[in-house]
Amino acid sequence: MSAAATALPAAEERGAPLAPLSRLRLLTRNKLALTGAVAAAILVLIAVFAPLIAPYDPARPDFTAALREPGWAHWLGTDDLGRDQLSRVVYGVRASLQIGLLAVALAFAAGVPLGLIAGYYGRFADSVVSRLTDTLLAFPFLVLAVGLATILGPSLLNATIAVGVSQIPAVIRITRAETLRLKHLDYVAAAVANGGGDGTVLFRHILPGALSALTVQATVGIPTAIIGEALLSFLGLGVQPPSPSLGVMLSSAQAYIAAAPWMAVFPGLAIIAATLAFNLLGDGLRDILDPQGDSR
Amino acid sequence: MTAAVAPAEASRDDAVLDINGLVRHFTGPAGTVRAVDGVSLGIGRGEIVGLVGESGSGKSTVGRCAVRLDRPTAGQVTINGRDVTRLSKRALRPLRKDFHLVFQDPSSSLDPRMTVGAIVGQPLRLHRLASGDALRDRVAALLAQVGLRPELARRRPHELSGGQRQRVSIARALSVDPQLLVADEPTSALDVSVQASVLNLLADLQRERRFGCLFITHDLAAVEYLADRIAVMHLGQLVEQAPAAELFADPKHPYTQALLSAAPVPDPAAQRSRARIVLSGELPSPLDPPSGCRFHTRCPLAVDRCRAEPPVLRRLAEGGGRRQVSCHLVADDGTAPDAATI
Amino acid sequence: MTTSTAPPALSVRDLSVVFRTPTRVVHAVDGLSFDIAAGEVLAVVGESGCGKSVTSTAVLGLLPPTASVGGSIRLGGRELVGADESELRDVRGRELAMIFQEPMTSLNPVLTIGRQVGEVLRRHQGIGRREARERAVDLLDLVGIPAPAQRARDYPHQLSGGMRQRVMIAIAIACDPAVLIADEPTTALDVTVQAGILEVLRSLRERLGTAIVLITHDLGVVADTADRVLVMYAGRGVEQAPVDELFGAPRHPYTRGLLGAVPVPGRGRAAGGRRRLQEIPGLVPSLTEQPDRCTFQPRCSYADERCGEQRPALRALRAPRERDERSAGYERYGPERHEAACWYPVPVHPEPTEPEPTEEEAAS
Repeated sequence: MSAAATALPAAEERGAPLAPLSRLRLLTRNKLALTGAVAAAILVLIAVFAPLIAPYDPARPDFTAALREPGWAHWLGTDDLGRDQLSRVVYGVRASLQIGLLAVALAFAAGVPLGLIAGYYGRFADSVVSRLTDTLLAFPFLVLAVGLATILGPSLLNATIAVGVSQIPAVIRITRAETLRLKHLDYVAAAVANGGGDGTVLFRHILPGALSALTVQATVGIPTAIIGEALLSFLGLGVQPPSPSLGVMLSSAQAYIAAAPWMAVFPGLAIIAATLAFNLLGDGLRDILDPQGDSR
Repeated sequence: MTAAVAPAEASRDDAVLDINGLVRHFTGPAGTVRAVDGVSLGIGRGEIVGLVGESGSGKSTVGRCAVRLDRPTAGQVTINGRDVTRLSKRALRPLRKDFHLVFQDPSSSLDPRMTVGAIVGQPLRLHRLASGDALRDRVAALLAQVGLRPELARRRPHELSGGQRQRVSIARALSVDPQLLVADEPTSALDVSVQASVLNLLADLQRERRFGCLFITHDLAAVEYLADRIAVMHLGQLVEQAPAAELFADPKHPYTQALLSAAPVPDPAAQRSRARIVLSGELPSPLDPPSGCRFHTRCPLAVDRCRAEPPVLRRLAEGGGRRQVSCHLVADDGTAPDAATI
Repeated sequence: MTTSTAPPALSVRDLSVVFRTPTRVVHAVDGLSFDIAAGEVLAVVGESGCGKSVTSTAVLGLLPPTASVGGSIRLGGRELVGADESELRDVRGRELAMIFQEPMTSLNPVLTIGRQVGEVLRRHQGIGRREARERAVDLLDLVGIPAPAQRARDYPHQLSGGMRQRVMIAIAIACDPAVLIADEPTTALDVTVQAGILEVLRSLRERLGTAIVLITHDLGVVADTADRVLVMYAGRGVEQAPVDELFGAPRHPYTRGLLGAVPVPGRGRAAGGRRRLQEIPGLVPSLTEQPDRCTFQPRCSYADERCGEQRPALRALRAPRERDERSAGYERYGPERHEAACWYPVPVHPEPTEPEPTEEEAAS
């Protein structure tokens, strides 16, 4: 598609613009992105309707049915406490997505304003924000999470905060880069000439212009957050048992890896599926929302 | 200031723009780029002044300083008698309805996410001059004035042709009825036949509304067509200024002569018979402009004095004092050597 | 030299280029024919989207796979349409060369310019390193680069835009190609630099007898450099004539419109007031269809029903009855050389005011 597009540079000059292809139709033409979108949508539906889908209470042990292989009663088998694996995976996906979305929201709430300020005002503001970013980057994610868990105690919320904070630098960087790119465009200068103040310029022109890149960043931030959650829960710093979480499940599966491999396989597959779905969607969105194609 | 600051344009009460000794230097890791180095230029009410020069001459920087999208390093910019050189962004905002600009590339100067109606109406909205139905009516009237159908207000820029987009840009610039319009290469990104319609439109609107206009371009034919007066820029300085017809009929500065002789005219017979002035050497870097006259390294007529002493832009007796030139070799009475005979 | 006797260096017949994408079909070039002889400069002019650059890309065989090419492109008796890639590669650079608008992107930033010119010579002519270096310096001298032996050791970023374009020309002519295609070679350059590049092109034509296809939108450049002009509109050739003929007596309404749209210093102002520039109303049509009519018809003030129903071919016009010095070109090229694709070619000496199409003109 791109080869044809470059060979027809003057199409837009002809006064007969391309038939307006909606973004949605572009999405459907990008097969990988479509796969990602469908898979992500299924995961979201599973998360939303978890209570309806899960056949059992995910937290209630049933010692009579411990370590069952996958079968008709328990499709994905049971764990060492006899809890239904399918129900736990469903609720685990729910917890993962919750954490993913919340963490990304947190990262954006902090990172976007800082990135805008750094990119638009430059000079002093930029140096302050850049030092902050460097400082955050200097803390490895795990050290940050362990630190937070030590200070605030291990919990779902604190794991979310740790995952969110670890994503702030990436959001700041992307917002700052987009702001720097956009603020030198003529239409932003035109907004100033129109009599627009900083508010108009930032929120009417620069932020909407950065939205494409930020959407992509959000989409690829979710799988990172999901893996982060799984890791923290695996280490006991995140979701606390008996609450179901994909990381907690992997953690408890360790001891039974030879006897009951299904205990590790299904949560692992769920993590891979969720990660892959959002990454594919993110990559597809990157192609579709490409700022180059967007501004033309 | 090492730069030769020319005597200011006789300050007139009717000047919409008065630039005096404008300097704009950009400091980067490679050194200081002397983009604009002592430019003085005035524009009267209802006058079109053309500012011509090659790339790197600093002409666009003059334009951006004139509408205070850029902050001058030194010198003075006066709009409608008010000194705007040092005003803050906030203090400038209410004044911005008096001056506006049209950019070179209409596809980058229009926000791709806004509708044409919102783009044209933005200055009116920001200056609180109209809202609601009144705003919609004003936008429709403006679109009609620039020759666009009112229903285009709902379209987005990418749905328009290049010429239509430049018309939208002009409508936006004129929506608040400014007294000064800076047009920075408004036709350079357009096709020949579209250029003609945009030049005609600018001429018509200017005749109707009598705004003062700084028309920045490298296209000598376009500037001759549109401008009343022409200023020629070379490496951050003005080298010559004259009424348009006189500049074309009898260019005084060797650089102006070279520029005019190099621009091909669409007439093969005339083109064959024209004398060409070939400039030797390269355009010097504005990081390190030559000593003396900045044109001396490429000037076929340069003498020792040109290498040592920077010439000053001075008024000639010829043409009733409407001509200015910055060259040692041009006498006060206007006698100038012809670079083509060398 | 008359082009009627010598075989053309490059002959394009009924060239068509169609781009097919899943959503649409674009007829970028539609039935284009032209010849160019050795030592001739043919300017191909038109506005963006008229197909002039696609034509040059097609001649070089560099179109993307989404394009399908029809018709014939013959270079010195060799057919290029349908030729395989190895054959085209052999032709490109040796018999057919090209220079582009932006010279920086075509040069390798990490090699000296002398090396880059020399590489082309070694690849195509199999000469030694030392000889290649000497010839490279000669070539740099030929394209007007001062102190060529020293500049040969420079890297592209050390040169100005005009010097880089001269290096590109040196590379292009390294193997003495029969045909040089110059696609907007001076559009990115300042006028004082442009003048020098056009001078180089003219000298190549004279000293090496290279046939030059000059693709441009700038009518001043055409008037300055071209011998003959082909005007393109919406993928089709609409008028072809010797340069003086075309500027002095344009016969196609589009050519007339184009010439009237350009401001000419000295002509702009009549008695103090501004003379309006001529505008061509309407927009260039989209190329998604290939209509059996004149594509300029919707914008043409001379058009009638016939123009909307039948497609005019590019055909030779009769010589004007009254010859003035501007039509002297007829003698040089033979009367068959002024062609227009129009049912009602504009009379040679139209009234100063816009003439309305009349019965007499329609019949002529």
